[in-house]
Formats: sequence, structure tokens, C-alpha cells
Amino acid sequence: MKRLLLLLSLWSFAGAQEVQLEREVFNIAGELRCPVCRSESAADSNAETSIEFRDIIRERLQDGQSEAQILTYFQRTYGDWILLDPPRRGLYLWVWGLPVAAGVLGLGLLGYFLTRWRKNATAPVEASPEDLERVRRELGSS
Amino acid sequence: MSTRAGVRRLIVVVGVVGVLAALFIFGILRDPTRRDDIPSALLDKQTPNFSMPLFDRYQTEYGNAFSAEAARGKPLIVNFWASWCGPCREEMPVLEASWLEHQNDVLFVGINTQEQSEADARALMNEFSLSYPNGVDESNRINIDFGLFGLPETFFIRSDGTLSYRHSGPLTQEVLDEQLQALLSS
Repeated sequence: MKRLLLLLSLWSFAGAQEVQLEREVFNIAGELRCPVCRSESAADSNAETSIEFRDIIRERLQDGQSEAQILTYFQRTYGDWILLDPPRRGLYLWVWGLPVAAGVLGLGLLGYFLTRWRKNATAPVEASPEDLERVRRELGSS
Repeated sequence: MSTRAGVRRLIVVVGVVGVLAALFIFGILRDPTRRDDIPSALLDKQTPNFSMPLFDRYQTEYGNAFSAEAARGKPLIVNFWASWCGPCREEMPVLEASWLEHQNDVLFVGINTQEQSEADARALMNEFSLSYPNGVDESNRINIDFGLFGLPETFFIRSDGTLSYRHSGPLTQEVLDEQLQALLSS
């Protein structure tokens, strides 16, 4: 009975490790572009190259490599293009910075126009003497 | 509002909308599968030291396997192909003719990768009487080490092992001649 329990524990431990490994493979492959597909990650694609990517990731994880080391391997052969998230350096900073800059600019413009609109709404209306005379005339004739 | 201020505002609006429309049209018209405008990350760097088994028809002359490391010291042209790849057929006569002309100065090697039928691969080599050595990328790892986007792709490698040029798509005689000369003069 004890032996059976020990075997079951070992078996479930091995299974859990396998699941954990596959999760890591999927996560890393999700950061890589499938080189032969249209807008698909290597995790989502079933192209032969993507399957090979996942096998490489699995092998390297089993060899004890870190996620950064594995991504660097793919970057070295395919360039930065292979990363679905552009690296946060050099020209790529534009990709990360532009949406933030656009948001700040949009909020700034909104604030500017709202302030101007409120100022115009509360400003006293200036009427010329001709206009006043016309109003008096109209009121007097009714 | 004065007319001049109105015109200025109109110019700004038209300018901004124009730039956005141009970006939109560029995004719509650009072929998302196009890869030939992406430069190889290996350009001017050392290319992978691969080895692969050769098809038996080349083994008498070149041995059982091809090793890139052993081939260093001579310029090398590496062509990736598969039997199911239509454009690969287009460039094979160009490659074979050029190999026959320049085989004393440069080594050509074909790598059959992502193959679905070995029989079809053999038939294709027979059809075009390919005499430069061709081998098999059995695990598809060589093509990943070279950062392949699709087929065919051709790599022009200097005698010191660094990459001079990568061509994506079928090679034309003009491109092959031009890159071959660049390779031989480097």
C-alpha cells in the first residue's frame, strides 16, 4: 500500500512538472512571432516552424536556460522583428512613447478648449448702442 | 474669426488628416506576408556552423555529410529549398548554370528543408540535374539557425564565414551575378 502511494505521488509530481514546463514553453512562444504566418505568435500557430520553435524552447528550458537567454537566441538569428513586443530601447521607444504622448496631448487640447469655452460662456455680452436702440425700439413697438 | 486664421486652421486639419490617411493606406496596401524587406540579423556576422547529411547522389564526390566549418576558406552560397515550393523551381536552373561556371571559385550548397516528400525532393534534383551538393535539414534546425522567413532563401557567405547578403524569394540571374561578384571581390 505504501509503495502504491509513493508511486502515485511520484507520478503526480512528474505530471505537475510537465504541466509547468508546457506552461513556460507556451508563455515564451507567446512572445515570439511565427516567422511564416500572418500576425500569429509561435504559441498560437501550428506551422512547422512554430512547432520547431516550441521544441527548441522546451529543450533549452530543460537545459536550464532562462527566458531571457532563449529570447536572445531567437533575436540573434531573426533580429528584433521576431519579438511581438518591441524592445524598450532606441527607435522602438517611439512605439511605446507615442501612444502616451498622444494621450497627454489629447488631454491637454481637451483642457484648453474646455477652459476657452467656459471663459467665453461667462464673459459679459457687449452690445453696441445701435443694438440697444434697436432692442428699445422693438420693445416699445410691442 | 478672421479669414486668415480660418485658412491656417484648415491647413492644419488637412495636414493632420492627410498624414493619418497616408498611414492608413500604407497599412492596408502593405502585404503582411512580405519578408524580403527585413534585413537578416546575421548580416556581416558569423553564420551558423551547420552540418547535414548529403543526398546519396552527391556522396561519392563530396562525402556522406557537408560541414560548413570544413568549407571555410572559400566563398559559399547556401540555397534553402523544398520540393513543394514553386518559386524554388524557378531559380534552380539559374543556380545550376552559375555553379557550372564558377565552381572553381565558390561553393554552392543546397539545403532541402521543411520537406514533405523525400521522393519529390529527389525527383526535383533529377529534373534539374543539380550537380552542386544538396543535403537535408532533417530537424529543420538549420533553417531556424539561419533565421529563415520562407522559401526559397539564399545566403551569400564570405570565405571567413560572415554573411555578405541574404536573398528572399527566387534568385534572378542579375541578382546572382551581382552578389557573386561582390562575394568574389570581398
